[in-house]
Amino acid sequence: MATFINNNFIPVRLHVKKHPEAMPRFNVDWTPTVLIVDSDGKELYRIEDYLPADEFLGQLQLGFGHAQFTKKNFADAERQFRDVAEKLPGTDAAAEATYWAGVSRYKATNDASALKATGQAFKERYQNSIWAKKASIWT
Amino acid sequence: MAAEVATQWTEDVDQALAESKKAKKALLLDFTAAPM
Repeated sequence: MATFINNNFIPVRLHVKKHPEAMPRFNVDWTPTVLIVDSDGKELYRIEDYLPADEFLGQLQLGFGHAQFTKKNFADAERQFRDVAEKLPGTDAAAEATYWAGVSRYKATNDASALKATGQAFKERYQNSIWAKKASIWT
Repeated sequence: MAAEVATQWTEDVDQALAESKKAKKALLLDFTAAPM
């Protein structure tokens, strides 16, 4: 986890009692809250509340993928999303990562077969997830 | 046994934003109320 954070982010930890001014600045009302923010201070992804370590890592990697997607780095986003789906398949992040990996591939290639393949993949796993329902229109 | 890697936290948001531009990395802001 620490290696992933050090390699991909500038990590800032703010205790609410020591840095109360930071909470309204970033619209934070509750802890723990973790934000991914770009160099202009724009929020890209938000994780709220406690999660067990593997679920937190899944959400963090998902957020990194979404940050790449927002920057239109679709190939990097797909790699990140597929990494979550493959390495953390038991987490809640995996179904969402599967969905967004397909969207990222489509955005990178403009090939609609990427969406169809994603819809098909949801027939084999995460069938009861909201992401399977969202992807069902592609099959 | 490999040494455990520690996250290199800072507390200075504005300095981190400046570093973010140079390093072309996003910030990870962790808001906590836990004892530090």
